[in-house]
Amino acid sequence: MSALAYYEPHKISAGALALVVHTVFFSLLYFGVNWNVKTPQSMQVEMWDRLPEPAPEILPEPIPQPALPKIEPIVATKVVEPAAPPKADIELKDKKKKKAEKIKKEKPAAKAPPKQDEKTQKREMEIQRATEARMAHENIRIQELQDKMRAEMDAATRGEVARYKELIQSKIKRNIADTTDVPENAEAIFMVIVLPDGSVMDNVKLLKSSGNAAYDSAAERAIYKAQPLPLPRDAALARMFRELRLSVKP
Amino acid sequence: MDVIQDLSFIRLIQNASILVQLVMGLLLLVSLMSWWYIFLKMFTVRRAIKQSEAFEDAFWANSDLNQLYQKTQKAGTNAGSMERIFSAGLSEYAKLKKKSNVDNNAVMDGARRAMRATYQREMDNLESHLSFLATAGSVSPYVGLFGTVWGIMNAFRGLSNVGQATLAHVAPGIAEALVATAMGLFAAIPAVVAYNRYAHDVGRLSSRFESFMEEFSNVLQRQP
Repeated sequence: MSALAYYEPHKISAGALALVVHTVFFSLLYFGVNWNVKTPQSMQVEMWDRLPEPAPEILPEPIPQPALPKIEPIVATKVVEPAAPPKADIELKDKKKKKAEKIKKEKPAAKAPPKQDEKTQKREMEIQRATEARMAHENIRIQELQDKMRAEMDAATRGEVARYKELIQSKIKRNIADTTDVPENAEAIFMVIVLPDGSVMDNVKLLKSSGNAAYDSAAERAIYKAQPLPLPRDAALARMFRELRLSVKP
Repeated sequence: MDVIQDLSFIRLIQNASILVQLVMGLLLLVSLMSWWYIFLKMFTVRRAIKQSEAFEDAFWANSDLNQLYQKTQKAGTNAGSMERIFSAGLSEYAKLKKKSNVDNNAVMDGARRAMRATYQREMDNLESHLSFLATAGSVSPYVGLFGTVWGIMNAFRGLSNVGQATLAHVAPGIAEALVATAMGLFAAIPAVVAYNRYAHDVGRLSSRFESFMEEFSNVLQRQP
């Protein structure tokens, strides 16, 4: 009798079951457990200094300003002037026909100015349209430029910026003494100017107080203590970190 | 070392040092093997218990030994352990009986020896792989611990270059290292449970076989 003759019919099914156990276990670990525990962000760093800054901020404003006053007078003239003369006509006809001549004189006089108005209106409209078209063109061009800028600041640099933002955050957070008796929704916002070597200019501005003077000063001290702030080595990226808007939350 | 870390499961394994990764790979292999053996043993032990129960029933219900012997020969490799022991004993008994100059005691001894040999072989087959489960259960926690200790050593060594030491610098390294311990335990716990369970089952089967051998020897001795 040979020992090799033992019949084991379940070798393959046992192997398959073992694989199933492992895949189930690891998929449970992978999908069932949230590994990245997010602690509430106590700090926000916002880039104050963006490169395509002046173009988008100034130009959108003048567009509504010329448009609104121009539209208003047109509406006013259209409503008031054509409506008034007919009413006057009817009243005059009803009362006395003697004054009809005067009215006839008045009529052209009354009708003439609206025609001039219409002409001027048309001119104004044309000018307005032209300016609007120009504005639109410029807007499109600016948008294209912005898009290009955004495209240039591609995923890699954005990731780098995010990384340094978080580095700055954690460094300042570490230096805040204690935040025990501060309400959770308090928020102090600072405007900070960072020098290229990572040190902070002395004039840290408090943009919005948290409502708790002690916490404000603690946060300010933490910002000074966190010097030098970690900055990217790439000069182009470091330039973006020159002015920071730091919001500090307990 | 970055302060902000992605602590997803895959990342933890990816970021670990090569030695820790090797340990984790080894443990995964051990875990796969031990689960394979767990299922394999589960099927074979269950089958062995069922077959010996069926054979015992047939043996005590049927007094015709030759008929039973024919049946077991027909089953071939499908035959259960008890059937093999029975057929080994009976064939040896018949062979010795044919020789005229052998006395009855010698015939019985020969039959018993044949049964014992088959019994040993059957037990060896039933107990195979159980030692692997025992080894996996006792050693893999230590292997995992080794990976963890190594990983934590690396984490602390990385800390030596950092001026301001914080928990955030060490924590990811320790988390990576602890994955190795987790895997070691994952491999060990089922192996230990399965080993105890199957050792118990196989022990019961063995005592069952032994008592059957004694009873069958009695039956053979009663033969004219």
